[in-house]
Amino acid sequence: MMKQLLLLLFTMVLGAQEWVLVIRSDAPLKTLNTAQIRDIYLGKTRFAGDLRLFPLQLGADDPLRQQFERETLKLSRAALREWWIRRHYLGQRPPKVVGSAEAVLAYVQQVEGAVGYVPYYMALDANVTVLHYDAGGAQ
Amino acid sequence: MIAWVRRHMAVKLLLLIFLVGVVPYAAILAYTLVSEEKLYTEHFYDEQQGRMAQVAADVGNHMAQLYRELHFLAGSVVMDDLLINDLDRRVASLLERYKAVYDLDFSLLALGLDGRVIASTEVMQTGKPYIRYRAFESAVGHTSPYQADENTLLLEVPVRAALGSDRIIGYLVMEYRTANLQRFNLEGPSASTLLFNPGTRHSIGGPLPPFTVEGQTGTVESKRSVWFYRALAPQLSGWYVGYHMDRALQRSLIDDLNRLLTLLLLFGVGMIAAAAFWFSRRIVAPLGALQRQASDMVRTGQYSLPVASGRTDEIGQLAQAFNAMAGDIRQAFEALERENVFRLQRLTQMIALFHRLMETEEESACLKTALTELKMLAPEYNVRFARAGAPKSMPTLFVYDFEHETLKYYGSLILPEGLAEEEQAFFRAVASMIAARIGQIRAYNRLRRDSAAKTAFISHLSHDLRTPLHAILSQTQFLVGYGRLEAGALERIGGIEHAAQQLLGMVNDLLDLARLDAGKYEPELETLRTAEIADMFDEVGALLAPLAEQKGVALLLPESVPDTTVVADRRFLRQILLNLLSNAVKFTDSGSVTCAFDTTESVLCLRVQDTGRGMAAETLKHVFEPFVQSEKTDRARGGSGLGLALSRRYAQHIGAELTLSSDGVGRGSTARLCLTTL
Repeated sequence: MMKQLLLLLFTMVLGAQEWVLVIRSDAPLKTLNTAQIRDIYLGKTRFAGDLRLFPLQLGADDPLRQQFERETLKLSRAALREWWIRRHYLGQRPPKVVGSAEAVLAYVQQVEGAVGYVPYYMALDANVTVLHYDAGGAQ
Repeated sequence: MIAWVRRHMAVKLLLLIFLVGVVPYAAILAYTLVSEEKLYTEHFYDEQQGRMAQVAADVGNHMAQLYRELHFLAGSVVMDDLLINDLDRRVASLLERYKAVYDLDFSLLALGLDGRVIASTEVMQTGKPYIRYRAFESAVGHTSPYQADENTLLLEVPVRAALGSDRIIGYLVMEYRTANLQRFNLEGPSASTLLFNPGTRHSIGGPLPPFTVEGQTGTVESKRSVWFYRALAPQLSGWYVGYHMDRALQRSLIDDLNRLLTLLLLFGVGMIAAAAFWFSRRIVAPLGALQRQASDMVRTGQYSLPVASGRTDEIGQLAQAFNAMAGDIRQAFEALERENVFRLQRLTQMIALFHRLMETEEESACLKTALTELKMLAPEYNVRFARAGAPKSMPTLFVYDFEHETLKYYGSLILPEGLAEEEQAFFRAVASMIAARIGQIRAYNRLRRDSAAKTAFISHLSHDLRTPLHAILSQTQFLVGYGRLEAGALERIGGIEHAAQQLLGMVNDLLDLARLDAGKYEPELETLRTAEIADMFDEVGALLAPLAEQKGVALLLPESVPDTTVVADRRFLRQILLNLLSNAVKFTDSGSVTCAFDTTESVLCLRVQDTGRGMAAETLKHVFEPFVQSEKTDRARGGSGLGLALSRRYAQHIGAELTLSSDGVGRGSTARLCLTTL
């Protein structure tokens, strides 16, 4: 618990936090690199084998989402909007927005193929598979 | 009545306009009165059914709208949060936001597959098993609301997962309070609906109706009210919309309609009547005036007053034509009157002329008078008289010539040429008048001359005859009295004396007749009384008694004379009596001569009836002419045949009437002398 508090404090000081990309524990997928995550979240990759992937993202104002877009997707909000407008005409939609990190975890646990990023500390006790770990503030 | 209508154009017109205007109105009213109830009730029922159909449609639309909303809500991406038990309360807040938009009393619940309430507008229920789960189970799969309890309808749509396979991840349930349906009830005095569910015996907007429904729609009529109803199925099965109405209200509506129609009719009739009256007056009144003036004109004969119409239409033209006609008639009348006056003047002039002509006594005076008068009458014609040399066309005078018994040309009137036929006729009449008067004057002069000559002749003759007769008589009487004659000679002398006596009598009679005709023997009228008349009878009776005795004829004189007074000439009356009685005795061989009086109030009639030979009707006609005796053989009986002629003249001179009658030859005859008594 102390460790979590310290971590939180650390994150707040840095302005960035550690996060993990999780999937339900019974999924055949075990790991994903940043490029794969980027493809999934930009709609370029929709299946992992036979498994249909459902990327989840947090609300627009969430710092973690901003950090994820900035550091992992490497796209500004405007660029992302333009991207999804263009993809819209191909019948694709942006990742489902979920209210909170807890909800992300709940979805991941409930829905097969759902993947989502949550703060690292929340994934520790959850019965999920971590597909990717990001320390935050990298690069 | 019909004849009166026929005579008056205004009435005809009035009736026509009135009929044209009123009949349609009356027909409409009659139609509505006869079929109003049926018509109106049918129409009314249709209207109410239509209203309820509208309510049903409104309710149906409402339900469909709710379902659309629910489906839309269920399709929201947020609904995926049901998978995670609405961890972020995003579903709950969505439901609440949605509920807040609507002004309806309902609850929204999101149920998980396990029957638990995951999110709800009712916070108390969240996380708990759904309390109406049994009803909900029945509602699943329906597309119309399900009656959960009497106040609640359940509307349910499944929620499908947007993520992953298209599976049902829960249900969206609306608990709809039936009270919301109140807004679909129609309000108002004439139409106030209610919604009811006979199954649950629940109603909105009024008490449950007291009847059982059958079928989709229907009408329930009772004595005092009418019910209409219509099912709200399929959108709201089990529910009905109903409408109740008091029959009195319905009746009052019909009555209102009737009252309106009647008022309209009365108003319309009044307007039409007024218009018809006005129109007919306007059109016909001038005609009537014209007709009245015309009748007045004809009745009074005053054609001088023109008819005033003051119009320029057909009636005005008629009036003008009428005036023109009246003017013509007036002129014709005046001409006729002038003609009349002229003719009357001509006639008067002619009569005056004739009168003047009649006054003239000489031919030259007559002609002169005629010409003078004609010059005065027509000075412009300058009428002249010509004895000879006049054209044939001029009015000619033919005068009767007695000696040759023919018409003889006397002269001509000379007139200007080229006179009108009437004028010529007038002058011809004048000419014939002059000719007639001249003929008259000639005839009169000749007659006077002849008469005077005859009288003078007879007087001279009688006088000259009497002188020798007296000589003969005196000589014979001397011989009879003093001559010593033999018996044979005496007898012959007696014969001469007798013949001379008879001749003297005849000459005396002739002299009397001539005197009477010449007017020289005037009667001396005096008043004769009964006694004097009786004396006269005695005298005459004494004179005739020997002759009657000699012939063996009974002479029956009246025993008494009626008490009376007559005016007569004594000599004349005596002579008449003598003549009548002597005639009667003379012409009666056997039997009697009866003399009697027939007296009436103012007339004294003496009847002399004999049983003698009488006479034929033909003889009776001439019996009073001189020298007529019934037969030539009568000469033997003596008498000149002048007796009756003289008697008739005597009677005329004393103002009496003498008639003779006979039943025929051998049947006697009756003479009758009638005198006017005083």
